Amino acid sequence: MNVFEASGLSKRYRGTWALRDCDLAVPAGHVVALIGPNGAGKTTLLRLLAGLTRPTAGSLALLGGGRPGSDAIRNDVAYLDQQVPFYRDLRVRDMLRVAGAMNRQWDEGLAQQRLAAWGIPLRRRAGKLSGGQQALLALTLAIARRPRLLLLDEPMASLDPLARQDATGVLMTSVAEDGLSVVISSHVLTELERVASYLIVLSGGQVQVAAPVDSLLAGHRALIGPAGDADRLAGAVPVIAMSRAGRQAQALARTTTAPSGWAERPVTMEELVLGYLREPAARAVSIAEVAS
Amino acid sequence: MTAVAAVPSGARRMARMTWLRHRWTVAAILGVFGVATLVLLGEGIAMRAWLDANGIAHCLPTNPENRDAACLSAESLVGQFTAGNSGEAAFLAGDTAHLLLAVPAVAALFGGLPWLTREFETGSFRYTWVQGISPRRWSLGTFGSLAVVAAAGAVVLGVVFDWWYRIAQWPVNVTPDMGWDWDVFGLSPIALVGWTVFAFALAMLSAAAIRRTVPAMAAFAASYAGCLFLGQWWLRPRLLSIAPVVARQSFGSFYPSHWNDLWLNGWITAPSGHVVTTAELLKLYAGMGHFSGTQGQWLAAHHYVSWVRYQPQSRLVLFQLAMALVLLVLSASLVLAAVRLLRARS
Amino acid sequence: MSPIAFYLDRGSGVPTYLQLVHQVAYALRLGFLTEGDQLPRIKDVTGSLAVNPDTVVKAYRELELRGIAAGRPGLGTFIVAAPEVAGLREMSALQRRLGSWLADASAAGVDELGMKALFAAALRDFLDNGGTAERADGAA
Repeated sequence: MNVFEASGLSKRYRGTWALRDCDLAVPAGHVVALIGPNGAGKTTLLRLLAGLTRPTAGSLALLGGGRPGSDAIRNDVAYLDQQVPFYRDLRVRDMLRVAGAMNRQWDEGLAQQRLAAWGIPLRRRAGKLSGGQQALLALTLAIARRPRLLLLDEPMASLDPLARQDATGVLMTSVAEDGLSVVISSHVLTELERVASYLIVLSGGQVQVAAPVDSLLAGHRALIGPAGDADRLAGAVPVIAMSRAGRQAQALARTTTAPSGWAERPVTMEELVLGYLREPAARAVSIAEVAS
Repeated sequence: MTAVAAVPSGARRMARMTWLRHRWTVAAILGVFGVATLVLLGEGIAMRAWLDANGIAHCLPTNPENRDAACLSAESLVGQFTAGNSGEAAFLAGDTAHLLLAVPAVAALFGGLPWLTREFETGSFRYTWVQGISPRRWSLGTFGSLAVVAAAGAVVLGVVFDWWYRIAQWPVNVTPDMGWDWDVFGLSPIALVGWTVFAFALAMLSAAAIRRTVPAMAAFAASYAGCLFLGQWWLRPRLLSIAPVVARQSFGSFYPSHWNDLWLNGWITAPSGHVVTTAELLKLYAGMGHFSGTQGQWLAAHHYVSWVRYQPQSRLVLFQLAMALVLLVLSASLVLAAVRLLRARS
Repeated sequence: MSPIAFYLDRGSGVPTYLQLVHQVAYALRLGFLTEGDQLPRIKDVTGSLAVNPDTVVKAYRELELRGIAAGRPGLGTFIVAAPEVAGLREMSALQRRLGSWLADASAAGVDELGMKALFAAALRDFLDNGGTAERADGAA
């Protein structure tokens, strides 16, 4: 089953197209890294998935055909962004009760265990917690709902490295145990490398890359060779990005072998993403495998 | 996912959530109604004690024909108690009633409105929108829970007001219109519940339309005042003139059938069936001569008939129910409009 | 409970799953792990290292392919055989061969860093090609 499917998905805000003609089909159980420059449409896509806003054109189906925001889907989707996701004047334990009342499934034990593990006092008012504690509380409120899809819009920005490690660990355990699907939008590429199994790169409201990380890394190479040979290379293999410096040229190519005269090595996800971001016209969109 | 099956537990969950989230709001609502109730209780007890002390407790509104001399002379005592008011005792009831008409508005202003604007202003609105509960159910559930609390307060206040009003209606020889008047018609328990729910619905719509607290409060206050005016001055008279009873009334009696019937208009017909104008009536009186009875007895003896168009006392409850029904239907449409507004602007 | 716990070298550039595979092989070599020992549970690894569970699954599958470990449904993943450990004599022969290679490299003007780079690249190629010296397309 696909965790979500988009077909021609478009969203316009007062004359600007935040998303344009996006086609996506992401299988369930993935941790999807959503990457792109500011204004590329990441937040818009997440909000559309959360049901906070409706598409201008195209379709979006969640968890096997559900409409985002519909009563059937609401219980299975959790959304977190930088906004205040709780009532500041309530005590933490009352906030848990409110969350339990607002959702059909609620794992009180998990919530209590997480808050205890992170040392978040139950009696304190939510608004009086530190920034990091508030982010952890927000995460707890989301995962204790036992959703099938978790949407995260840069939620870890205010966490210190240890808390971020902890929180990510908890998320990954949920993915392992419950088959939770996660879509996480973040600027910190190195962290996403470890956790993401699916990559979506948005640029200018359009989908540049949408494929599993494994197949992307297996299907791309970093090539190094003579600058004079660069144009021939472009004709021989699909070159995504090329940079020349004096006599040496480096290229990111969608290939598994290097033509003669060129040395190849595997790419990291960071290099791959940066390469595509530098060339907004390049595409690597597939429903199945990319490697040939 | 059957929404129907979840309703009983859903209602309980909503009530729980409303209590957790809006404890102070509930307290404010009950406080407003509570204070008004206590004021009325205090005044009522004091007035009752005064009446007892002066031996005129039996003069409380009953059949005016039962009034004795003690009651009639008590008029002069009115001024002692209500120093500062005019001589008409009914005014005492009137002033307080005017203020009490504002109680639902005050309760809605501080209990029905801020909870919604606060959601917008703090941004927690967006949190609510991505939970398992649907936004419509959340809005209706919270509104419903608060409106039920307010309605309970309104019932208590209305009952106490009824009791108070009977005491405040001074023993005068003016037939009191118990419950029909523009001010008190809205204060019986039934009508008061209607106005209270309406006030909360209007407050919710104001908050949904204008997301900032103070402007929303101003808009609500203005529109509620307008609706109150419309309801009591325009709707009520029209409501009360629906299907009146037309009957003969004997010339000697004060009232058509019950002392608290609402008299709408009356006329006298001559034996020929022709309606007698005031000028003709005066001419008749002038021509009575040495008749040894009252004018009424002369007219009756000469086969003139006094007609009256009125609403029987027994229908008072029905009219209040009708008013409440109108208000509840309006409330429903206001709340649905508010929910639609909330959805559209998420 | 597993006798070992995994760690992650973030800056090494080596894919995560390979790091885990190497750590198991290393532990076997040093005797921290023996036949019958249980490897850490997948959800424990994801929780402590904050990595995608697929990565751990991949590592354990790689170990299965190499015949080192086997998964038992519902119980976990267990070491089934220690890899062939070369004898002491083989080890010293290998080290001598390394020594002559190092002498050759030094004579060619390669410095210490260069030697390490060459070795790392060759090792990476070797492992990427599944432990064989030849590349599939025959390129040098």
